[in-house]
Amino acid sequence: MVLETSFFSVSYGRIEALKDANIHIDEHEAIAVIGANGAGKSSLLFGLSGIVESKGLIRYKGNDISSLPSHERVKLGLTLCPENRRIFPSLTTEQNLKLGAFRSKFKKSQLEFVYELFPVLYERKKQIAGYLSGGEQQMLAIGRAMMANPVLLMLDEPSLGLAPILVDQVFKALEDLKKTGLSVLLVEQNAYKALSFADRAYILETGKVILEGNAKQLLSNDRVRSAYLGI
Amino acid sequence: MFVKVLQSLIFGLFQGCLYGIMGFGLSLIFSTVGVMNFAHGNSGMIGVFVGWTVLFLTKNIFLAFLAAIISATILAIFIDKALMKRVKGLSHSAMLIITLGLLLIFEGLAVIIWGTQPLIFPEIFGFSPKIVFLPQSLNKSNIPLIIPGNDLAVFGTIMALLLLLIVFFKYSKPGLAVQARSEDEIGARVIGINTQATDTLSWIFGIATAVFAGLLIAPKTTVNPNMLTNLQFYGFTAAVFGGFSSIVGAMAGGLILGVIEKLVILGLDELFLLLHITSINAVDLQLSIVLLCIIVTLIVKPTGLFGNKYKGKV
Ligand SMILES: Nc1ncnc2c1ncn2[C@@H]1O[C@H](COP(=O)(O)OP(=O)(O)O)[C@@H](O)[C@H]1O
Ligand SMILES: [Mg+2]
Repeated sequence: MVLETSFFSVSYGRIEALKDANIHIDEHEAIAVIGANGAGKSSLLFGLSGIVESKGLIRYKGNDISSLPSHERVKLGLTLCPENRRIFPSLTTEQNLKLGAFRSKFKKSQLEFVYELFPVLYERKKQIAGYLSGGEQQMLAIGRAMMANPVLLMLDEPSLGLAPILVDQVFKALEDLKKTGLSVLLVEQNAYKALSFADRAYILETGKVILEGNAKQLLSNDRVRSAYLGI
Repeated sequence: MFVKVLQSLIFGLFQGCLYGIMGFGLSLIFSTVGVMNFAHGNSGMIGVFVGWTVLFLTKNIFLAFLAAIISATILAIFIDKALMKRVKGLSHSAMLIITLGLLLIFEGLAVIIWGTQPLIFPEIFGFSPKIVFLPQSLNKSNIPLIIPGNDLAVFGTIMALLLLLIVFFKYSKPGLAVQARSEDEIGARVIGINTQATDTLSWIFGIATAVFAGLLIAPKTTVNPNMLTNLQFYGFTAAVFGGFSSIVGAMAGGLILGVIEKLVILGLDELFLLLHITSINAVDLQLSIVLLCIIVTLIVKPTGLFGNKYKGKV
C-alpha cells in the first residue's frame, strides 16, 4: 500500500471540509475522487500534501507522515498538481519545469520525459509561462509535478476549464503516466472521464466519503449515474 | 549646460542607488510576504544605532558593520516569527498595522536608548572629492565637474551589492525559492519549497539591506531616529516605479528616480533664474517631485515602468 488514511479530517476554523475519510491507494493504482463543487476534494488533497492542517492518520509506505511539513512530503514522493495550475507566470516554461525538481535531484532524462509527454511544452520551453494557453498551462503544471519524480501523483481537477479536445489530451497523458507505474490520485468533477480512467473511486459528498468501489462498476451505479453523470 | 546636466546625472545616480536599495528591500518583502513594510526605514535605523554603538566601543568599522547586520537579522526573524506568523491567518491589513506600529515602537526605542541628539558616524571610505575639467569643446563656461569620492565609493559598493543580490535571487536555490514563492505560494509549496523559510529569508534580506544603506549614509546624515524616514519614502517610490513585484525593477526605479529628481531640480533652477524667481528654492520641491512621480506612474502604468503583467518580475 502506498497511502492509507484513517479518520482523516480537514477543517477551516469551524468549517469541516472533510470528515473522517478512510481511503487507501495501492501501488500502481489509479484512484478517482468524485464530488460536486465544495464536496471537500481539494481539502483532501491539500491535507494529504500538508498544505493545510489535518487531523487523523496518514500512512505513507507504512510510516505516519501526518506531522511532516509539506516540503518533506514532496521529498518522499508525494506530489500535488494543484487546482488552477499554480504555475510561476513570469518564469519560462523550462524554468517552471526545472523548479519542479526543487526537492529532488534535477535529471535531464526527466525533463526529456516530460517533453515527450507534452511536446507542446518543448516548443514553448523559452516562453513566459503566463502567456501560455490554459491547456498548455495545465500540461505545464502536470509536467512540473512529474519533475519531482513522484511515487504518488495527486491531481486536482486537471480538466477544469479546458476545451473537450484538450481534456482528451490531458487524460491521454495521464494514461501514459499510469503506465510508467506511479500511483495516481485524481480529483475530478468530470466524473465520466475520471471513472473511465481510474481503477477505483471514492465519492465525496459534503465532506464525507459516501461510496467507494471499482471505478467501472461505479460508472453503472444508479446513484452515481443520476448524481454525477447526468443520466 | 552640458557639464551641469552631467553633474546632475552623476548626483542623481549617487542618490538613486540609495533609493534603489531601499526599494529593493521593500519590494522583496512585499512580493514575498505580501505586506508593505512601513517600519523599513526604522528597522534600518535601529541596526545603524547598533553599528554605531559597536563602533563607539571597539573603534572597528568591520565589527560595527557585522554587528549591525546581525542585529538586522535578529530583528527580521523577530518580526517574521514573533509577529507576522501569528497574524498571517487574519489578513494583510493586520500585518500592515503591525508594521505601522513597529515604525513608532522602533522610533521610541531609539529615543529611549540613544536619545535624540544626532550621533556622529565617521567617514567610512575617506576619499577626497575629485574635480574634473572637461575639455573646452564640451565645456564653454569652464565649470568644473565635481565627483565626491565618498559618494562614488558608496555608489560602487551599492551597485556591487545589487549585482550580487540579482545573481543570488536569479540563480541560487534559495533565491529561486523566494522568487517562486513570490509568484505563487501554493505553487511553491507543491514543489516542496519551505515557504516559512523563504518568508524569513525575505525579511532578513530586506532589513539587512536597509541597515546597510543606513550605515553607508550615516556619515552624511548622522545617526538619529529619523535618519531613514525620507529614504524609505524614496524607496517606496522606487518600488512603485518597479511595479512592486520586481526587485530588479525597484533597483532600476531607484536610479531613474534619482536622476529624474536631480534633472528636474536643475531644470527648475534654470527656469527660476530665467524668470528671476528667488522666493522658491528648487531643492525644496524634492519631495513634491517624488510624489508627482508616484502619482503619474500609478495613473499611466500601474504595473510599474518595466512590468507588464508577467514580464519584468524579478
Ligand atoms: N481556505 C478556506 N477557508 C474556509 N473554508 C474553505 C477554505 N477552502 C475551502 N473551504 C470550504 O471547505 C469546503 C470544501 O471545499 P473544497 O475542498 O475546496 O471543495 P472542492 O474541491 O470539492 O470543491 C467548502 O465548503 C469550502 O467553502
Ligand atoms: Mg476543488
